[in-house]
Amino acid sequence: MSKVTSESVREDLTGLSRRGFLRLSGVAGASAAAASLLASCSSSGSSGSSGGKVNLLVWYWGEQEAPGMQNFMKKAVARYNSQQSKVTVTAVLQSSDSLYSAFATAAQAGKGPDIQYLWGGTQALGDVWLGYCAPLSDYIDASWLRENIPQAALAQTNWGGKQWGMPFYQIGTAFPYNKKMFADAKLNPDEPPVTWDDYTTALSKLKKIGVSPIGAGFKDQYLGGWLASYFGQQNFDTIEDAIAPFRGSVKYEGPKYTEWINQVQGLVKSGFFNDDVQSINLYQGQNLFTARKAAIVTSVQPQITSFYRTMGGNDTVGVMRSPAFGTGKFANSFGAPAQVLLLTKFSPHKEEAANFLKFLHTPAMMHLMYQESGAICPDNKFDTSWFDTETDKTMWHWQQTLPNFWYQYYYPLPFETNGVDPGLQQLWQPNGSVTAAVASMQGAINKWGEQTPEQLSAYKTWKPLPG
Amino acid sequence: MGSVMTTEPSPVAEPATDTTRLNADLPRPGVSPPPARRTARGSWSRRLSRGLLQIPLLLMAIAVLFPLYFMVANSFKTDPAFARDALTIPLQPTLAKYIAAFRSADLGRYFMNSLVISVISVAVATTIAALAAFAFAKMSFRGREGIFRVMLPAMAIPSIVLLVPQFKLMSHLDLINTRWSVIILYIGIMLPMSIYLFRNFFRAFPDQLLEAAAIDGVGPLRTFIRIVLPASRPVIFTAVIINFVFAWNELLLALVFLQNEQQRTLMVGLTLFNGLYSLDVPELMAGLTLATVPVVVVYLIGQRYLMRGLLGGIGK
Amino acid sequence: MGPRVRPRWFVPYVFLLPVGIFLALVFGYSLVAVVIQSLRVPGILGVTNWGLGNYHGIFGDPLFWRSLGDNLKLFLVIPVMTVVGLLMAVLLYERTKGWRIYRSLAFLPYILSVPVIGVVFSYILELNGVLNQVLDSLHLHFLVHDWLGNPNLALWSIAFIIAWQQTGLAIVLFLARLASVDEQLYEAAMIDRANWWKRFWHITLPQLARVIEFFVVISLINMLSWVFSYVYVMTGGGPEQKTYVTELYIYEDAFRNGLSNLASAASVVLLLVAAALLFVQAIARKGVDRIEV
Repeated sequence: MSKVTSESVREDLTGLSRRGFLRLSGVAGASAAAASLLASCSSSGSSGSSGGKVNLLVWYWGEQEAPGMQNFMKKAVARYNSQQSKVTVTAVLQSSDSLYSAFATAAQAGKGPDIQYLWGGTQALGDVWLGYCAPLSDYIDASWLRENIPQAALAQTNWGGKQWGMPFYQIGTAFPYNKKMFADAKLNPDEPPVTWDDYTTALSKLKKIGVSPIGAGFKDQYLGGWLASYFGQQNFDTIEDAIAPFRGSVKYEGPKYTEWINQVQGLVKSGFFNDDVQSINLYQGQNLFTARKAAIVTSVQPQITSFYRTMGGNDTVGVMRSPAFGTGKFANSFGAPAQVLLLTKFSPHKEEAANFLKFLHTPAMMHLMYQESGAICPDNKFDTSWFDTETDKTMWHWQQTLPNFWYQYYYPLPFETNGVDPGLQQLWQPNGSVTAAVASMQGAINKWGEQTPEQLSAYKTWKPLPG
Repeated sequence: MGSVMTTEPSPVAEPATDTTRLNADLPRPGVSPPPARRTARGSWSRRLSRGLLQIPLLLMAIAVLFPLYFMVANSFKTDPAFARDALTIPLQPTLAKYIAAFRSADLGRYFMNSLVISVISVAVATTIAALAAFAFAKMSFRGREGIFRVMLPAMAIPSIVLLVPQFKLMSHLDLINTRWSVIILYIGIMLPMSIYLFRNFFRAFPDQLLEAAAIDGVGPLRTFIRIVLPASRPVIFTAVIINFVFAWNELLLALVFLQNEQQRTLMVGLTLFNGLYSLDVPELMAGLTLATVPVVVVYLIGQRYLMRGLLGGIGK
Repeated sequence: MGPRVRPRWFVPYVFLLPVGIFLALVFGYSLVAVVIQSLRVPGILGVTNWGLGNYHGIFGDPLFWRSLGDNLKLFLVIPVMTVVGLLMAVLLYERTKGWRIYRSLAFLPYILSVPVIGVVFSYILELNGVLNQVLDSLHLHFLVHDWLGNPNLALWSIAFIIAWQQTGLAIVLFLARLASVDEQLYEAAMIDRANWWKRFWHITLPQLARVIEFFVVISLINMLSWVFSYVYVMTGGGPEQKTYVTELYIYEDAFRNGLSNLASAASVVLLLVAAALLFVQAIARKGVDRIEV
């Protein structure tokens, strides 16, 4: 405790309070000045121009589902920046948790990236309908799009007569399976089951050898969308069939729409899933494959490629499509949804951004992407001689010969989060029922229609390209 | 314990007994009777009941340590070792995961960002909170109670509510992706609790000393700086620790306001580890451990002052 | 000795000014913005109407009520934390052997980051995770459960983890208060031959009343407004949306579903609930003050 002396008192008699006040405001003023100085210094990574040069900011994702994507982007950006001097691109990897929230926040403030990555289909259209994006087709010729990008990939983000998303990479969806486990279970390792009955028979045999026939994780609520997209579209013939319940024209009921839930329940009740499905996350479920605890898991092509490359190639890893029980045209289909890059509404450099997007579709870049991450760029110029795994060749063959459709990219997201996920999750409980699941899904559709009437009308006016 | 005209409880004790006594091992009357005389029967049952009393504390210790043990132990395992057994101590501990953690993300830079942000926001918040609390505690002015009571519920406003309006505001001020944006927000959020803490402590400060200073002609600011603050070290440390813990651990705001690699904080960097498909649990644990070490260090150092700070009182 | 300095009228306000600026900037602006946005009801073709439509929207959503309900369920943990905190504080106060170490450990969980704890516990609480492994090896098979995957258990598992963290605060606060209780009170009681329980009930508890109340208020605020990270990291609101707390509802609406107007309305309701709680607490306080010695 310092002593207050009469000297110190005298020196500060009248002036102190004033001096103290001045000192305080001085500090305040200085920090405000410092703040603005720092602010202008550190906006290096933001969109804008400086001295005639254009800065493009790209927010992207993909490292988690296609490991190596970050390396690809680093190299691609570096090459683009070195090839010309007018535009400098900066690419920032987002985390899964903040991908959508960061973009929504930025869009609502009218300030952020020039190019935004979103998961494709309706998962991107949601933000389009909110007015956050600029149409690609306003900046890139329709003829260029038609010539270079496969129709099925374009269709997923084509709405209102305009093309919104530029397909960035596709994630062919299929089930990798362990050939050695198949052999142990006396199944033909090179001919995986195609019909539903063959499938369930195979699963029982796999269960007998002591592995989880299907490995999965539901806790983070991503699995619902996968199950719905492998099985839920099997009675559809056209995209119209798929989106009808969301136009409000039919109810989500009857075998056409709900037979698949019975199939899922069958799998659950037969114990074909691992016992801890509800307490682990999606990726942990997929890891059961590499840990050799599950025979079959849900996965995507880049990940399957990495399984192939790390688990012993063609001897161990095979790939199978979703077995068919349905009778629609899409019962035998291949899902190759495309993740997209979009131009943001508030970007001041949409022309330059569109050019960068085209750059990513040059053969050199597409080859680089495959090499770094195993991911395929949906483009007619993609050269199949680049493939270095059997699984890639197999899936490509499917893609060329079967209808391409991915249900998840055609229904609104709340249908999945409020309807499919809780509805399917309760199937794992002792008193779980298909009726309750259907009710959950229809309820989610109703709520979505009420809470976002503008999305409902967007669906009503949607004229999908032929699939 | 006199009931002063407060409308909320005082979390810290009124100035009371000599704080050194807490650290003394002298037996003193407390909730249970003083040690009994040493009789053969007495000491037997005494030892038994003393032993029984240990059990709840032991259980608490296990509950506290187990998750930390899980995190640290597994950070030194390789993937196969972890897959084999997530429970026991690694037989062949390795630093490989720590090295990998540093390589896969720019942890050094994230660490510095977190440090800079935490230090600045804590310093500013603690200072201005102390100033304001002193006014609330020892000065009388119109609206004193009213303002205080309105300010307090701000503690109940979750960050999520602040998110969108603040992002819009910061965008206008061109502060997005600058560390100042989160610094300002953290300061704001820390203030109500800090003011609350300081005010209760200052209320207990003896008025006579302040009167004496006033009579000597010392101005309020100087009184505050020269007389009150030096005696307030415990509560200052308390506020610093609580605030530092908040700033260091904060995730949601840092996630949204600091998008660039350059400004990213450590906690946000860690969420990139735990993404949709990533799987390296030992590496994740290594990252988590690295993020935890600074707070634990600050805590262990400041513990002594923390205890005294929460005790309040300035001793006689 | 000079003349006595009377503080100028503006001095208190000067002391308050920096705080005032920050609070206005961070909280004042945000609150006004949120309230305004909650009254904005988007119409067809981008027209903006003003009204209570958003409130109708959330009040009509069963998920919103379930979310609030989940917060309220978390309140049930508060008495448990308080009692456990009291017990530990008393034991520490008694200088039970090793009390210094226990005291350090007690507060340790409180300073840890919520996402860190959330991730670590996620692994521990898996169906095939280490907790169940330990229970199995101790032959306590009936205790093995799907802690985070069972819709009836998940919320309580999260509640346990919140308590794991927050009880440390209770222990430290109570202990600090205990240590400064006037010993003469106890001495007087000893002279009167009061036993342990009587001393605890008539002296210790009343002395602790204010601290207990403080802790309860802080905890209520926590359970209402600061549990987002736990839920987000450990269960994402599931399973079957049974761990949906109000903050998550706001987050999902605002950022996943593009429904920021509804989110604002939900925010306002949350704040009103918090304000009501504090109001009730202030009134109860006045009542207690009158009873207190």
